[in-house]
Amino acid sequence: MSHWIPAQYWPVLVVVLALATIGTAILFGIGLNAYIQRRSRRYLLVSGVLALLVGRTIVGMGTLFGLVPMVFHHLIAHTIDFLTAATLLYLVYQSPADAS
Amino acid sequence: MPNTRVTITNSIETHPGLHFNELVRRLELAPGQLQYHIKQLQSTEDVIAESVYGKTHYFPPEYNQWERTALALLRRETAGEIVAYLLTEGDTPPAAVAEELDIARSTLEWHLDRLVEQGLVAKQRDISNRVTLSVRNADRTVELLREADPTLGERMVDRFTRLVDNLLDG
Repeated sequence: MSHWIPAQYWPVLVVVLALATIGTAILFGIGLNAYIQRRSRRYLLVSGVLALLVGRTIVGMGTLFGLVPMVFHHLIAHTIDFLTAATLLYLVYQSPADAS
Repeated sequence: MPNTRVTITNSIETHPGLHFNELVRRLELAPGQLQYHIKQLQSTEDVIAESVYGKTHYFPPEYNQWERTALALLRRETAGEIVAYLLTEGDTPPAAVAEELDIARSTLEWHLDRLVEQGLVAKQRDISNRVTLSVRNADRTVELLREADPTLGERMVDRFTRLVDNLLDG
């Protein structure tokens, strides 16, 4: 058990992270299938964003079980946030080109 | 025929057009095991495999090639809705179909490309040179539409693409 979390919150965090892992993995699976069907850059990027979301929960799991130190946890998580925002902004900006 | 093969053919009879992974899930077989039995069933022509846009679907032998491709396409919920709309409304311009079904034009065009290419839907020009859409083989298409039952996974992927296209194309 890690020292950064009070013992009573530990089980809650485990449940929340387990749910997040299941949820993001299903979502990524759907996104990947959509990309396989459409084969377009748009769906590749959308799947990429969903993969980042899965990555976030994996990092969370890593920290929970003492594999990823808290410093790296924040660094990776916020880098993922930045990449997600950048990809989505790009998708929105160039959507007229994709739609045609 | 061994029991497993009877179960496989029954499942394909009830849900024509299922793909490999879905059969693995439904029948709780190991992929290798299913692959072996499917191969045997294909060699005796009890099951026909049809590859539609990179995905292999399995059918009972009584479906011809056009029906197999049509059914594989109609398993996509949005394609089914487009065809059902054209069947009830008759010849309709594409813009009206997209508006009525509340789908992005890019979603409609993606499905139409395939429906037209595989001979389910025809694009014609009316007297004022406007494009209208119609179903080519209405009687058989109605029957196939009734048999198409997309799985939960197929529905989710289809609705996901609809949502993404709607969000990004408006």
